[in-house]
Amino acid sequence: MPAPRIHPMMPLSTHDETSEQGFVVALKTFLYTQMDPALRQMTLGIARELEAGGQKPTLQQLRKRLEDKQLYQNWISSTRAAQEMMWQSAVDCVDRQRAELEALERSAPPIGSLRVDPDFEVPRYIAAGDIHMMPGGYHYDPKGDEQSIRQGAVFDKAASLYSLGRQGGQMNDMRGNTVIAHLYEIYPDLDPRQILEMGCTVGNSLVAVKRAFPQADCTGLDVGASLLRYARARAAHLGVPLNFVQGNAEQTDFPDESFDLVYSSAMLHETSHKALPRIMAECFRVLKPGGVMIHLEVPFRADMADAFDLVRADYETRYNNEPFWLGATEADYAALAQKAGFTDIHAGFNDAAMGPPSRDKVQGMFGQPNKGGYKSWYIASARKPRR
Amino acid sequence: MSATVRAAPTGDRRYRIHKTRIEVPGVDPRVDTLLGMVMQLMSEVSVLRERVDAHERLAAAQQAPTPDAVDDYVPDEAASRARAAVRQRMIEKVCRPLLAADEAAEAKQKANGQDRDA
Repeated sequence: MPAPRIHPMMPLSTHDETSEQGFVVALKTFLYTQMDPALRQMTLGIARELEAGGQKPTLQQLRKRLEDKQLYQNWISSTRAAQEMMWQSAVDCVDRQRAELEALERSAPPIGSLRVDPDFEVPRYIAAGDIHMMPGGYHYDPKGDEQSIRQGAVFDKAASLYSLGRQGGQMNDMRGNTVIAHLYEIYPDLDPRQILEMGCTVGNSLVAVKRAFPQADCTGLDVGASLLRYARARAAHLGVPLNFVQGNAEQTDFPDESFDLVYSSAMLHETSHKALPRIMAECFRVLKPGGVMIHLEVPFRADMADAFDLVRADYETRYNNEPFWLGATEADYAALAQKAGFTDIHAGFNDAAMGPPSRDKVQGMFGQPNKGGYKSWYIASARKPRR
Repeated sequence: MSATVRAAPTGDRRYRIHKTRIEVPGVDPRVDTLLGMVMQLMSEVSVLRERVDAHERLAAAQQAPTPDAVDDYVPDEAASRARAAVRQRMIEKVCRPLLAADEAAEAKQKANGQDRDA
């Protein structure tokens, strides 16, 4: 049976909401295709002037020269305004139909499981600010609203707008499919029976992974109870039994050697310098000998960036509340994995999988040059030594 | 009035907005706020235009453009393309000064320099 194009938990949009969401997508597209190139031209011009002094300009030097330029100021203001509008359009759409969505959550088939912890302590790097300007971030779950699925619904709705339809459409499963393609190509012998996704949000990647490995027991971990309630219902309505657990990827409560595969999808850049080695160590602890760790990240590396790429990364870090965005793109994942005890380490760009991958069509997808905008992802993967 | 005009969220469901939002360098925060409001207002105009578009298309098809009929109206491919073109034109028109800002400043600077030279 073909997978349904739109899952039943996805908040529905009225005529006016569809117009509003279409507008914000068009605005983001305009900014990306008109304003980014204009600022790129200006930034590269400034970089050439600075380079005349002999050294590659630093981000601080670039920022200092750009900060009094109206184009730069307008670019930050309008790009952030569009981001805020995107979230607000999703929030309004979800709040209008919260009662219906909550009823849908209650009527979801009783498959999969959910374990939340009312005393869970949210990591500071998550709690400190609203990540990528999402009101309430991943974790907001106020007392007295313990059955809320709101953050999950808002995230799912906005994510389908954010990528402008280029990350697997409303199923938002391109990154999950890319993790599968990487596994097929680099670790073809692995037949995972126990799978963990760290930072699973609404389970969009995990649904794709479970469909690729139907015999596997799949668990998603995240910091947000509301996200996870929604995720469980979303998967259940799709007929996919997934287990969801609230927890911190730095220190989970899973026993040692529980999983054959541990992966994350665009999570690491939303953690911190301190958290990164701890997460690697935790992956090592919970993996069985011979098990595989895969971390998919944004398709950007600071050491390969031109001056404008750096300025854009700086925008994400400072103005879009992604405080570790730039740091994560500078991190040496191979060294971190080695330090945690891993072997068979790979780090590089992987072509994006445009649909569920098949094992005989993944050769050469990894190790390619970065093809840009949702056509590539950066992947760091490794294996825990066999006994 | 349309059946789907949205009410503000009720008190117990109101969530605070945007924890941590740093200021744009060199920009009066009130200007940043105003720019956000202009963008939102442009969005509201776009929504309104598409409601008008639904009215016109229903009327052209000899259907009564009642609030429910407008809410239920789903544009076909041609109508969607036409709507996208209207959105695009409006965004380009409204946002043009954002792109022209530095060119304008540069031109002014050059003009001042020429005045001095003269």
